Formats: sequence, C-alpha cells, structure tokens
Amino acid sequence: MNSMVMVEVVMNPCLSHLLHVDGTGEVRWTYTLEDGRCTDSMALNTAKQYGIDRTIVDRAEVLGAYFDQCCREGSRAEIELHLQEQLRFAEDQQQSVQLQHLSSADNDDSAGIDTDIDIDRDLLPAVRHLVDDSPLYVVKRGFEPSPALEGLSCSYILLLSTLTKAQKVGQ
Amino acid sequence: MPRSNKHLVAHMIDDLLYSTLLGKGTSARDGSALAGALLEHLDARQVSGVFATHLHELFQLPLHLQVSSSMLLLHFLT
Repeated sequence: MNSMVMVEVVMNPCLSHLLHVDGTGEVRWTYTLEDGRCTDSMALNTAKQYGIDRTIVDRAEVLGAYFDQCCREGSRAEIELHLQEQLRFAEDQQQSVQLQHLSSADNDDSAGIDTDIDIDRDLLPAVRHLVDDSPLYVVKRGFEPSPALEGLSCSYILLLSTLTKAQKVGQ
Repeated sequence: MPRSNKHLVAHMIDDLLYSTLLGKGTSARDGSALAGALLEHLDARQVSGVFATHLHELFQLPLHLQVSSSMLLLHFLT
C-alpha cells in the first residue's frame, strides 16, 4: 500500500475498530467500512509509525492538546458536535436545499474572532452582497470545510477581525 | 532533496531545509501540532531554511524557540 494514502486516513474515536491501535501505538488497518464520518486524524500515530523521531511526536501530542484549547472553541464534545453539524449541513447541500446557518452563539470562548457573531444579525448583512442568496457555511477557526462539500461550487469569504472587512477571496 | 519527511528529518543537519505544506493531507490540529514540534526541533539545531506553511494556527501554539533564534516570520505582500 502506498504510505501517502495511509497518512490521510482519519478516524472517529467511536469507530475504533476501523483502525486498531495497539499498546505500542502501531496502527493496523482493518479495511472495513461503516457508517459515520471521521473526525480525528491518525497523523501522530502515522508519523511515529513511519519514522518521525519519537521526541517530535511526543511534543506534537502536547501541542495538539494546546491546539484544542487555543484554536478550537469549546470542549471536546462541543468540537465533535460542531463537526457533526458541519457534516449535516454539507449533506443537506448535497441533496440541494434551502438556506441554513450554523450558529456559534452557544460558545463562550472569548478568544475567537467569531464567538460574538450572531449569524443573522451580523454575518449575513456583512457578506450578503458577496454571496447573493447562496447558503452560508461557516468554517470556524481551527476547522476545515467538511469533505462532504467536495465537488460543490463555493465562494470563499475571509472574515477578518471586523465584520466590515469580509472579503470574497475566491471561488 | 529528500522525498519524505522521514528522510528530511534524518538528513537535515548541515543542510538547507525547504519545507512546504507540511501536514497538507491531515487535520489542522495534527498538522499544526506536528509542524510546531518539527519547527522546535529545527530551531534547537539552528537549521537554516524556509518553512512555508498554510497552518496559521501554528502561531497560536506556545512553541519553545531559542532565545537567540533568528527565525523570521514573513509573508508575501498582497
């Protein structure tokens, strides 16, 4: 198997039998598919398995925990919930659809630029002239667009520190 | 130029390092964590090179860089 493919395999913790990680951190692929999306990358296990120095991988695990604190909003459970929301939104788009919003109003993390944003009140007016009546999909800091959006036509809007600086950056 | 990151790490000492889009195929979380750990590793060894990245979260991580580090943070003028 091409190792580059393995690097990109991701896993949902609740789908633990998809990838088996034994006591030494070795990853074994079961080649078994089941329902649900993957929300956690196996990159650190993979890096270790393919020879990246143990001290680097150990440090990366520490930095990963920092990432959860400073770059993603909310608890691990909330992160999981947001990822599932993203997936549902993307699936709705695939089936083609009406306007939907993902709200970040429930988060209380004050570090993020988007924590105080009310989607309807603030975001839509700021970007509406850029996106016409298209559905709006919010990618929070520290997240990527859901893979389920792959193949859909999108306009990307970069939301800078103030709402008035929303800029269309590409399609 | 070494083809894999494994070889890159093994042979970087005394070489000029050029790394771009490390962690491209994985999550921002793990990509940033690995890139940060690697940057610290390179910085501690005073490796010279260019480390181009799309992982902006990297700069929010509490990286341990040398006090005497000559690392420059640059981006292209838009």
